[in-house]
Amino acid sequence: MALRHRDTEPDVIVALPIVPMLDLSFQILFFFIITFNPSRAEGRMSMNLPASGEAKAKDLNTVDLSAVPDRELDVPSDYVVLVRSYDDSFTLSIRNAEKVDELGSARGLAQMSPKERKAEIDKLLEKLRETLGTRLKEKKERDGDKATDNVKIEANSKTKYDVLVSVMDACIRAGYSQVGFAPPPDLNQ
Amino acid sequence: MTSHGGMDEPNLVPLLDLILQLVMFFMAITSFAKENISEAVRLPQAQSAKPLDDEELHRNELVYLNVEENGDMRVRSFTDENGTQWYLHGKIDDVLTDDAGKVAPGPDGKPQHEPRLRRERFDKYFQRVFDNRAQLVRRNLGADASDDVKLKAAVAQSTIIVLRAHQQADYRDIYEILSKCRRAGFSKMQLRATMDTAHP
Repeated sequence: MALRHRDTEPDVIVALPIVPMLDLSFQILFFFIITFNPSRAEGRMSMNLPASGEAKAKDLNTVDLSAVPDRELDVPSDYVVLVRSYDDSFTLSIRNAEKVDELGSARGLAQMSPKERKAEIDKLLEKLRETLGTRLKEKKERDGDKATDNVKIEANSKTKYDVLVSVMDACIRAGYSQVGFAPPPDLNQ
Repeated sequence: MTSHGGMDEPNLVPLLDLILQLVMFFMAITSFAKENISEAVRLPQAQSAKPLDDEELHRNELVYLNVEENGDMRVRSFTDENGTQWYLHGKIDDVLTDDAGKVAPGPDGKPQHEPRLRRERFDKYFQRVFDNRAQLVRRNLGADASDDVKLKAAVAQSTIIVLRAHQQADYRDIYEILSKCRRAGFSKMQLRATMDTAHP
């Protein structure tokens, strides 16, 4: 019967089974949709580490671990931003030569919600940005083109990276092009 | 099959085309090279972060460092010229082990980390990566390769260290990484942060 059918209608179109294929495609589509996890746009903050001198240790076996880093991660800088961030408090100061100006501190952070905490810290960072910006402007008026714009951040060991980045962010927005890092004063404790 | 029954059936072919297009789309974006990136890292936010520069990324060799919340650094494994594979598990391990080589849990039941081991292993890691890069660069450099200073400068110029650290990572670990990195001879760094779009 089938044979005869084929004989009489040689032009019959062999249909692809679309429906199972569609089912399969939906499955795959569904899988990709649920595993789709768009990551937030990533940005960069470029920095140059100052050229190191000759490394003290020539090979892996002579690395002296107890030695403190030979030099600070830094080019000579005008100001040092001191960050002291603990669970409960956050203090910002600027050191210029030997003089330390405290910009302010926030206390009782442990009892605050993350949002309040952030607002409190942001207030201080805004103050830092303004102060650094004014000082840079004064300097540029005084020294003209020779004015350097370096700043160094010295934070305590337990400072969280997001706080560090927002301090760095404030420095960059104040107009400083070179931001360096000083070793945490409590590194070896 | 009569013509009458065929007319009533909806035409599924365009639908299938559409679905396949969608499948292709999701496949293309989900299978993006993620091997360098640890999903566990939640980047901090920064208003001054600039968009990534594709040209810069292609011109340079990139070394990705993922620093997790507890200071663990995840890296990509590599094979040096002698065929030794380093960091197969993608991790610089500073977990304390007992005499039998088993991981010793701390008071909280989690593996204990030893900052001194970490410091040593960061140092070794950067030196190995630097030496490995130097071997590759030496081959391309030709005649200048015997000049140690030129070789080191060429390596430093052609390599970017990409630091992706978690928001809650401690400055102590970040500082250690930066200082070991510099000590090994690298100079170009890129800190990654999410761009703060709320206040442009």
